[in-house]
Amino acid sequence: MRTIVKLTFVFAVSATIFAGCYPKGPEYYSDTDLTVTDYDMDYNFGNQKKYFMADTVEYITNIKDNEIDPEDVIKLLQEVESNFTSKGYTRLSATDIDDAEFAITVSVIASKNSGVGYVPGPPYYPGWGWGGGWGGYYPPYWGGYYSYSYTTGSVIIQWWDPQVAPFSADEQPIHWISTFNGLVSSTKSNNESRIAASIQQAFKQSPYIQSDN
Amino acid sequence: MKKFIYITAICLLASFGAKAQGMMGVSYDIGLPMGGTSDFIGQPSFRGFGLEGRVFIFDYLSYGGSFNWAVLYEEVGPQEWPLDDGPGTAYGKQYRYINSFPLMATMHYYFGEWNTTRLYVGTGIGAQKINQRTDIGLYTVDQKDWRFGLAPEIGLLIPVNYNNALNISAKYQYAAKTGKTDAVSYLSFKIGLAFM
Repeated sequence: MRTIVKLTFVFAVSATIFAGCYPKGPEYYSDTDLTVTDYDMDYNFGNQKKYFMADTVEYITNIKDNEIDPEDVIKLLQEVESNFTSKGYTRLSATDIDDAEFAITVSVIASKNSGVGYVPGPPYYPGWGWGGGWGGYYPPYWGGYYSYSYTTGSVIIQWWDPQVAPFSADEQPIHWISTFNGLVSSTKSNNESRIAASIQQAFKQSPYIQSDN
Repeated sequence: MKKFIYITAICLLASFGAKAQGMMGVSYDIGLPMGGTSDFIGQPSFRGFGLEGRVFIFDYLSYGGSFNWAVLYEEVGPQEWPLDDGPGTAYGKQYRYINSFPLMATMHYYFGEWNTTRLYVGTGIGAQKINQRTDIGLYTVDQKDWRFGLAPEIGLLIPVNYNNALNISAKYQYAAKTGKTDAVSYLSFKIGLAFM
């Protein structure tokens, strides 16, 4: 019996230490950032030069009474334009839209996720939590119910060509798409710098985007 | 696979409840990923522990059961990753985890005499629950399954006093591949206490 007590004690101590040093994954908001690009291999990006990009973005959100800050839109579009310019492309104004060889559309999605979860006591197990598995919140060590709330943000840039016939009335082929998303920080400058870095990364990992004209 | 799990669990429980000369132990385990597993996670694991019971049939032979938990983890990137389908590219950090839970029926053979340091060799056969997960951005890809497991082992029992011994061993933990996943293997170095 004494052995079993000893064993239980040592086991409990081991389990407690073990649970305490479980790897916690992402630590900073930027650790959740992901940039994905994909493109049409049959499209000749080098042949294009002039493009049109509207002064607005499509904003989609599930946050009630929430609107995107116009200043954020300006900064976002300026960053996109700056990267296209560095690759040899020229943005046209609305009055010259008929001369555009391709069009760029930018969309922003903000999604707020909240609810109540339950974390079992130690040793806790990496299957817990909400759909994504984690979200920038680490639960109380001894387990129990907790509430969570986090917002994710995504920016989508799409390249399409009005000279290419649409698949159907509602479907236009997209030749390049760039999406980036991550957890939204409460610090605006943090979000801005991460978006700028992601846009630059999207162009960096798309070397085929370079105008030859 | 369920048969393996049941048999191993029964062996483990039977070894704890045995009235015969027996040994129970707890251990701290260090894991070193091997083979294809080291391509997924190259870092050694310092997060592992084990629990085992052994019943001596003879002075030189024991049967028993063991349970371990090892967490293999590595943070990779940020870097570019080619997409599985299509010519695209993803850029971000990957957080890779393997949680390994071997549940084994064991058999060990001992050299030497009691009250001296004893070398032993043995093997475990049973099942391994493998939870393999990759987090990238806000997305998670995970795979959880039970697999056939083997665990050959070589170790030393070093007496501390009449009832207790230091238990040091190296164990090769192998979880067979499945139709969807590769085999998982790692070398586990154990340092533990054995209670007679």
